[in-house]
Amino acid sequence: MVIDLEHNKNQISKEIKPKKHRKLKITVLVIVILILFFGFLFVKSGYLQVTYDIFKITGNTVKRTKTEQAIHYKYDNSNKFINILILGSDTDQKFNPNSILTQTIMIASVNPYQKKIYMISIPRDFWIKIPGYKANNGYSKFDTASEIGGIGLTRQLVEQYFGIQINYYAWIGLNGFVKLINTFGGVNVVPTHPVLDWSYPNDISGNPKLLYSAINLYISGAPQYMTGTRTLEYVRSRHGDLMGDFGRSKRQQQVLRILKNKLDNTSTIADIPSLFNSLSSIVRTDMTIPEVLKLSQIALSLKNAKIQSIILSPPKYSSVPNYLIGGQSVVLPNWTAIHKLFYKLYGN
Amino acid sequence: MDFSKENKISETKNIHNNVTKKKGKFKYIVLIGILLIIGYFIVKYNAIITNILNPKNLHSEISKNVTLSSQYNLNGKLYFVKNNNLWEISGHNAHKITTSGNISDIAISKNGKHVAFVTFHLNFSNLHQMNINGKNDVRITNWRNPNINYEAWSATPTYSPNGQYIAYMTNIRKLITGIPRAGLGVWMLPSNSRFNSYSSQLQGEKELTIPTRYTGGDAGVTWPNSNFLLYTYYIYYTGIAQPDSQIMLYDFSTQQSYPVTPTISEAMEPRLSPNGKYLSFTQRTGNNGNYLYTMQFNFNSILNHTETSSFNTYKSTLQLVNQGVNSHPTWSPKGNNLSFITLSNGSFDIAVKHVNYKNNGQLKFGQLKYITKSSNIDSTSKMYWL
Repeated sequence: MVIDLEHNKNQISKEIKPKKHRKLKITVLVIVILILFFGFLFVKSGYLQVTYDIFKITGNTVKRTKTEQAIHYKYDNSNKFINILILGSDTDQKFNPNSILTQTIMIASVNPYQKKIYMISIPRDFWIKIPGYKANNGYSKFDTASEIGGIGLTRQLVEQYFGIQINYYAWIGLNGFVKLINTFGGVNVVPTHPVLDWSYPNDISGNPKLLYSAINLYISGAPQYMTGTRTLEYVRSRHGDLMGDFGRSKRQQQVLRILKNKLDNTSTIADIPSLFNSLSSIVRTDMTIPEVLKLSQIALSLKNAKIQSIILSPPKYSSVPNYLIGGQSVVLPNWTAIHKLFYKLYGN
Repeated sequence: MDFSKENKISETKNIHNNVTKKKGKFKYIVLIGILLIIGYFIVKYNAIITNILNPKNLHSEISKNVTLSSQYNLNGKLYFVKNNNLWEISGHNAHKITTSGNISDIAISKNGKHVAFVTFHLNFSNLHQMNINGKNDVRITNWRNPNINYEAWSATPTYSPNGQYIAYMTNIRKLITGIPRAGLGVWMLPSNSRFNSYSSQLQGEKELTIPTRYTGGDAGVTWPNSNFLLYTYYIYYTGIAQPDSQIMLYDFSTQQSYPVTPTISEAMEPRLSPNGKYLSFTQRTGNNGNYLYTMQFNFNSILNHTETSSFNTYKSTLQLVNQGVNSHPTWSPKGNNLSFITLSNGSFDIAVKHVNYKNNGQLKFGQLKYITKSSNIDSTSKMYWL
């Protein structure tokens, strides 16, 4: 008997073919299982939430106005700095979401090449001319700019008056600040002095009835651990300060420095998801995700960089805070001294 | 029929099937292994995230107990506050005396029988006294009022050497003057006072110091000697956005305050050694630090100090700890050890240095040893070593 080898080969391949189909089916099944498995883990582990949180925080672009585009920046080197406008608002419930009073206006400048970091607090009571504002011959306090024209107008005025280009803004609310500090596990602070306030706003409880009420506040001058709420009280209280807003600016910068040190010494892999989670509903920035990541990288490279903290306080940069115009306690800026300072910081 | 060839074909088929089966099984095993490994890491990572997001992760919640270090065996009894409860360390034992969770700013009488302390409430705080075992709590001040403008603060009490009086910080001056801006000043009252309030007559309350307005007031009063008190005074200087601190001495005979350290010293938290010759204190630094110092102390020299004369004793300042955050230096009863609260790995703990007295009057301090570890001591309250 002659065996037809070709025939047998074909027979074998025919028998193997359905197995190939089976193999394909198994592969597809495995891929589906893998997708489901990783999808489940992705959701379960919070990565989805983190991605969602990052999207909520970032990319909140505020259009640059025509005036802003036409601003001629005074200092040649200012573009080599990454300038971020940090805005801290009053209780969000008190205002229209798009026109919030800014209690804190700060320029954070980072120069990755020169390894320099500046934190410059702009007094909220600076008496400036605000475009479109009709009362007081167009003059108002700096903190009302965001109430009048939103973040865009505040940014425009900072650029216009201080002569530097603001690359990004970052806005944080009061509850957000509390959450942020709690995410960091609280902070250990050596207070600048005992803080005594007889009219501290009692407005973050969420109870609308208490929104405009006040409490007595006392914070010991001894070194201490502070929770988010306590830290907010420490950086926000101003009635007990002779210099009002200037005193609290000092405290705000102190806490920011503590946070930077905490970031320097934290395993960021573990902390970033929770950080974004806590910031998602209470922080807004026009930075994109790649920009946030890039900036995080830069921040890591500046671990040991010294921060130069500047408050535009009297007598050099402004008048004392009890100057009254139209019944308002305002601060008159000394623009000559301020521009000299900015030239020294950014122009060299 | 060539059976050998047919067998070979069948053998080939079998081998192929076996290999395919084995390969399939192997793939599944590898796949399950990889999934398990990835799953393990993600679950582990998820636990870290959950742990961070959990508000219980906050400092005060981390440790409810006091962990003693094996580095040091404490002679006598050291009293301190943790999680608003009074604690005592003796030898190698830490013991929680109270469980009420409302105690701050303790002071222990020299005979070790009484504890003065403060309870903080929304808008006000009150001064209390109880027995050292935590019993017989009596309220000394009652600064509660339906109108928050008439509520006030009590803080940082200290006993007179004979225990009959308590000096403490309060801002009740605001009611006398009608000026809410009045900060906390040093006042004294008999330690057997009860329920002092504005509506009734203040029982033996006496104002000793008038704080500078808008500074928050004075702080950290101690009463080491029947002749004088030591406290921290805050004052503004031109162009400075925040007040500066210095240590002052209140003399009972002249009823005047005298500077112990210069005005720009940023010195605070004074504590005199048992022999009255050395003053320990802390000094704020610009980078959120608080360092520890001692200096020679001479009562007459301080009283005779004039604006033009120099701070001779301050010049003898010796730096003990020049890094981190340190507070509340506390001498041992014999003065041969100085304990203090120090920030270590994110936790306020109690540390100690041995003190050697040299013939030339200088002090020499030993190495830093920890009394507690990772215990999150309440750093706003003073400690007492009896």
